[in-house]
Amino acid sequence: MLSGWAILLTSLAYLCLLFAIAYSVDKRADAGQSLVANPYIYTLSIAVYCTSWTFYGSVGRAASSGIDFLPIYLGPTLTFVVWWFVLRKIIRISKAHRITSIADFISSRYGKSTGLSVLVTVIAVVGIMPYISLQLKAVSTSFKVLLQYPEVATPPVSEHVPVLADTAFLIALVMAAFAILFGTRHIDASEHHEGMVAAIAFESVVKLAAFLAVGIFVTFGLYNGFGDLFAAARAEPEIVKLLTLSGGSSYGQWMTLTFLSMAAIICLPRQFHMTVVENVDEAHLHKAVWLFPLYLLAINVFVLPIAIGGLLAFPKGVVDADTFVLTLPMAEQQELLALFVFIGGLSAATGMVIVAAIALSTMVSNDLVMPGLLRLSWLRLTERGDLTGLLLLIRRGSIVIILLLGYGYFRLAGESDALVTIGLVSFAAAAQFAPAIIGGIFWKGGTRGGALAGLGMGFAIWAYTLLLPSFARSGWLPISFIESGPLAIELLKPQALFGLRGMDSLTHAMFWSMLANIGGFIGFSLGGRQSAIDRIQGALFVDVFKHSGVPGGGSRFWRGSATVSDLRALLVRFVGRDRAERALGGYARARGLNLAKLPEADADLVNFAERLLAGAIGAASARVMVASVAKGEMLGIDEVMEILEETSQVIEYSHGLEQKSRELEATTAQLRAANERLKELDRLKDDFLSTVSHELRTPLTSIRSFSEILFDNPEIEMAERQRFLTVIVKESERLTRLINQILDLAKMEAGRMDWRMEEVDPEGVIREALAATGSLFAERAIKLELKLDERLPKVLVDRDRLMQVILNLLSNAVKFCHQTQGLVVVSAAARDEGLYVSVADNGPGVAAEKRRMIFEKFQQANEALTDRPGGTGLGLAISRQIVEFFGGRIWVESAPGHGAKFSFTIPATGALSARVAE
Amino acid sequence: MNRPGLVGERAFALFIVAFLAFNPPLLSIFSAEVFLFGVPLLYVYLFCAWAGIIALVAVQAVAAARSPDQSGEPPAPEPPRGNR
Repeated sequence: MLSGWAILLTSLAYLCLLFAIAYSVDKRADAGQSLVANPYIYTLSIAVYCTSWTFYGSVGRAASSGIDFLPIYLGPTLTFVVWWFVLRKIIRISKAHRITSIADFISSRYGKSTGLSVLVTVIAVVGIMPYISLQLKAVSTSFKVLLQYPEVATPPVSEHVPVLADTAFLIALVMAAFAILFGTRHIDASEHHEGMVAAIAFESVVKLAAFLAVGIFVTFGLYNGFGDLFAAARAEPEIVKLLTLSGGSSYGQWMTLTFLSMAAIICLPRQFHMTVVENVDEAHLHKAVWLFPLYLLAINVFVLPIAIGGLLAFPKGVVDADTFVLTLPMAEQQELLALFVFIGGLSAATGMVIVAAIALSTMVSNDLVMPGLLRLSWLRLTERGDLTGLLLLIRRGSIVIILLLGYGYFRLAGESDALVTIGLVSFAAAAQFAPAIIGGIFWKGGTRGGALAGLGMGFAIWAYTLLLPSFARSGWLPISFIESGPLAIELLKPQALFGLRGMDSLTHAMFWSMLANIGGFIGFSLGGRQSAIDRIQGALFVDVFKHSGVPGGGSRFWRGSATVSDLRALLVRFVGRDRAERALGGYARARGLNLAKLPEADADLVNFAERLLAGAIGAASARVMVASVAKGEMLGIDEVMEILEETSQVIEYSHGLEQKSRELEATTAQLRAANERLKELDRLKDDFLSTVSHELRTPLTSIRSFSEILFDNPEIEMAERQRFLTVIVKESERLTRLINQILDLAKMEAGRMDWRMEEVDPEGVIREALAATGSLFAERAIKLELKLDERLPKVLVDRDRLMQVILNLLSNAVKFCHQTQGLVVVSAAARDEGLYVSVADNGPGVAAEKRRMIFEKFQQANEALTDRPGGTGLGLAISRQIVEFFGGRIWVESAPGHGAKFSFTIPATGALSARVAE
Repeated sequence: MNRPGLVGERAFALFIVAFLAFNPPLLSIFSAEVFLFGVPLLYVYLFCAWAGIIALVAVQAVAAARSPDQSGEPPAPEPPRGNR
């Protein structure tokens, strides 16, 4: 069943399915419906990190050195932990500057330097070569292994196969065709390749499913779960060794691998492309930062079980451990599973190759070829018409060349090494970008010279200590190059440089290359001079969060201008007429300009054009092109720094202002509330004064008029005179009472009252008060009922004041009770709260809305006072003060028309002393 | 409520924790021929620690998504997400 044709047809059908997905998603995207703009697709597209290396190589690695396949996946997790500082910042910067690739990013940061972008591109292409060869090797090996079915063995290394008959070569061509179809439909590389992203996400699902299927088959099909599998493993001392980490050197390698993979997840061109350039929405990071590590965890759970299963199943050396994933199902005659695994491996490989080829071809065309062509003045490229065709041609050509380079490496050096060993060479190359990137986004002082020196030296040492030895091992260089150094110079031995021993070759290479790289970067940055544009870009990158909110961004750094028609012609040449017109139209609409009437483009428009060009041909080339049509120059460094400084200050200042204005608002609200309260108090005070004056004037008036009568009429009769004098005396008494009450209240409110507290029997006080008011009751013929409990609790009070309260309530009751059939009920009882006393009348009662108010000073005054001159309006206020001082409360109950009942309580002595004691 | 800058500080602290957990010398404690329910200790430890770190990153990222942008920077240009 697993004939060559079946395998080929299935593979082709799968590839066609991928293309169908990509095509339909692209069509939808053109119609304005984005299917890939969600965090899950984004996460799955980042999972292009898992290639054949993960799919086949991890198991091989685990079978030879145990658990140290894992740091390659722990490293990315660590980098994603600090996404807030690193990934988020890189993405924000890249969006602001329309970055198209890692070369573009680094060259943009260091002054849009062409030299740097060329160097980065060269490093990337050379460095990724082994990685692509790894994918070719994995696919061709797995194909050959599957072809031998039902025999299970490592296919013999074929010595002299002609290139055209080599499976790996054909695979390279098919993949190149695919990458071209997927990746070079649009010209603007900073636009999103939605179809490609969707296809990669789909592949990520397939490879995960295939790998998990094998893992579950081995763990739960061949064995009864993890425990059973590991129990079988424990019987083999060789395998038990794989389950622990042994000693110093393997720890050293562990840390090196962790560091490498931390760098790789950002610095590999294809990861940069997927994570940064294809990012649609920064908020997708919020999900991707944990979903992607989770994907890595899922795809790694079964690596060790499969490796152990393979080691247990096959005799040593018969089957290459790199193929266990495939050979285990084959050995068990699981044909469909084996085919699924092959498709999974194909997914892993094609995904990596397509994205890497697209990312690298963008770099080659934008950062290597275009700048070169533009400088060749005899080509007169800057004056030619439409260049979009040429750009596409360069991209497609470079994709083919990159894949052929990968194939070349595979033929030269790839056959002898294990998959992971090949891949690590590429990781080490990509890690060379880390100092320039990380230094570039956190340190303003990094310069173009520093980056060039660091990258150059790091790359040279990488090539010398890792790349050349891999050639030597496969016989393309004399093996003595490794064993005794070039020209037999011991100190220059590539795997023990300057006599450094005791490390594995990878750690050794990383140590020397990072020493040279970081040392060169920092040393040359500090030692050299920083050009103006270097400092500007440094400030823009490092402070991206500060500046990205400023409209126009870096546009103000251009002094001078270009004509609109020149800019338009330039854009048309590189991005095509349609896109250029659309972009310019959008720009004009957003700013309300009419470009046709605008002869001179201002700095803003020049910058807009440069960024648009940067999307198509890279920052460095775009700068050269714009400079060729724009008059004027960059502002001087001092002016630019001033602008930046000013901008930050303005932003800071406006933040400060916002803060202040919020505080002011809060304060104003508080003030307004306080003012309302004051106004209310003022009104109350006015009322108080007018009431008091009114109250004082009434008795004074009568005293004065009666006195005047007596004064003017000395012959007045004795009886009459007596009556007048009585009125005068009474009114004076009332006046005195009023003044006393006001004084009392003032004292109480100010807390200066003298209280003579003593234990008092309330019954005596009540009876005394009734006796004192007896004449009042008699005068108005009011009936009085008294209901006293047998034993009233004693209370701790000022006797006179308690008397005052009761008198007050009684006189109120007299005043307000029924005119003709008045009835007042006084009752006193012992309650839980202590002493309870109430005075009820049968007058008109108190309206509900007044019940609270009448205990305020003069509140009752308003209407009642004029026709009932007996009250001062202070009685209840004073009573409340007194009762509350005694620790009790006073209130009124009333049903309008059925009288009012004023009650108060005072805690009993026992309760009070208990409370004091607490 | 989150203090400004807290997202970054927490992320950095978690990085330190994760770095220590995934590297020697802490790693060497678990590198022993001990089996937990028949599964090697190192294997169990690495995957559990890994899952734990991922869970913490998820918690932080969700919190970061809920709180407004915190570096004195203007909010990202897309409409707010989630149910805020």
